[in-house]
Amino acid sequence: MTILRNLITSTGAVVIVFMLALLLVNKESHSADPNQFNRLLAPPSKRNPPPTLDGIHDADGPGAAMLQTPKSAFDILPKSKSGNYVDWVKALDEKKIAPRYDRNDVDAQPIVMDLNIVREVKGSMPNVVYPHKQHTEWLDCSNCHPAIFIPQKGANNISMASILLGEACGVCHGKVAFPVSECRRCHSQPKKKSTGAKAAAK
Amino acid sequence: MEKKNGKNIARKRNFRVSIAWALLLTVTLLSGWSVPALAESDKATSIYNKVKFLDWLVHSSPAAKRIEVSGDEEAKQQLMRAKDMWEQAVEHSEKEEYELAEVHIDTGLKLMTKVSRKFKDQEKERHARIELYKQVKGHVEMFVTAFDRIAEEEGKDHIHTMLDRDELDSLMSSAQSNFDDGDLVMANHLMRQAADMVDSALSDARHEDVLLHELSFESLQEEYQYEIDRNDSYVKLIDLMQEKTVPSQASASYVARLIEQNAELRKEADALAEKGDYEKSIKVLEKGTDKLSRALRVSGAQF
Repeated sequence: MTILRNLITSTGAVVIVFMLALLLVNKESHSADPNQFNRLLAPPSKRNPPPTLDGIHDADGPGAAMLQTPKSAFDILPKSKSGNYVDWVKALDEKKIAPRYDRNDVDAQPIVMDLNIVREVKGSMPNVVYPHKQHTEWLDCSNCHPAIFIPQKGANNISMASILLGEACGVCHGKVAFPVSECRRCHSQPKKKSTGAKAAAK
Repeated sequence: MEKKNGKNIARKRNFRVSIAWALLLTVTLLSGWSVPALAESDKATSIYNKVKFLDWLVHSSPAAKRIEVSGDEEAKQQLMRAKDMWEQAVEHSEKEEYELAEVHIDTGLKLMTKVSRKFKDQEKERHARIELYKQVKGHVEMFVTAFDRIAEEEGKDHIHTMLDRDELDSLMSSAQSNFDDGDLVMANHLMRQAADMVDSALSDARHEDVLLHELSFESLQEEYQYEIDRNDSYVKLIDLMQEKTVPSQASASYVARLIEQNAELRKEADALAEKGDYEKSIKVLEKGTDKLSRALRVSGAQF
């Protein structure tokens, strides 16, 4: 009996320590900056917190606690290895999600543009391929043009530095779409022989 | 002696078996007690949150305030019914009758949703419609320009036929007349149709196209600047990876060493650039960025 009592006491102590640790972790998430960039780069232990603790929703708002938690919402969706751990493109392809194109019109269909933009880059990194198709299956043209990207070749100065600071692709990637640590998802076109860089003055 | 040892072994074995049983019993008891208790407390929390939300909706929300000051008696009665639902939900939840509480919350929420639709913030809605109209109109104009540019660049006549300009002009002028007359709903509807037309035409014109942004530099100085930006962005990305992914001590110190080596190379490159030797400085900087590239891989980035 003594052993059993000791066991229960020690289990209780472990549970209390765990709860305290959880509170501390939650307190940390709660105070997170809702506009922080690259928030999806969080370690697995901090992934997909509930709406009241995610630092995005107003935890004191009357509806925050009523919202479905990501854990239950994402449960049936195809998995990915980072970000919010959902492969959204696959989820759309497999019709696991059916985002409404027009808030007021259930039957409205997206206008899908099948245009790839390839950007050459230097070094060992493969070139970047931006597929309009996967983006326009969910988003409207006006979500990105012209506020984020001017629809004209050469009009946009995109760099990894700007993306990391939450500009250009970084407006979504790292915040709601897969984070920048998934290099190969964008740098997906292997280079041929040369790096592609041509300096006129050479 | 052997008998005594045998007894000791048997006693030890019995003790271990007792421990195992005790552990199993504890786990069973704990799981048996905690699962229903947890489920019950989850339900109570869920009901509490919903009651709190309905409370705000019927007593303090802007919609409730608009209904109260309106002269619409039917709407006021609906609000009173919703308040009644809230009161009953509170009573049931206090008695731990969660299913009944849920029914009353649901009815209350539906009543409030229905009645508050009639009492939208008119001014806010008008403002939002004006903003939307301006935004979509700007989108149409910009995409028409883009379409014209593509048609010209491609030099293909059939691209021009993908967009019915007369119909587009007619839609846009009708939208503008409605906007000027204050019919913002119709104005937005027509402008959206115009936007869809242009988007479809652009989509057809660009179907299965690949646009290549070649990397070329006007001068070595420009290429050097590109290398600097690339180097900087790698440093930032490593910082981010280190901060977010909690690396092991070994990988952290290896990464730190690579960063130091890059810093040295960067100094060397800067000195060369100051002397105007951009060709060499680019090569040195590329070596530095390679070090960072390795650090990035160690930090968890996959490429």
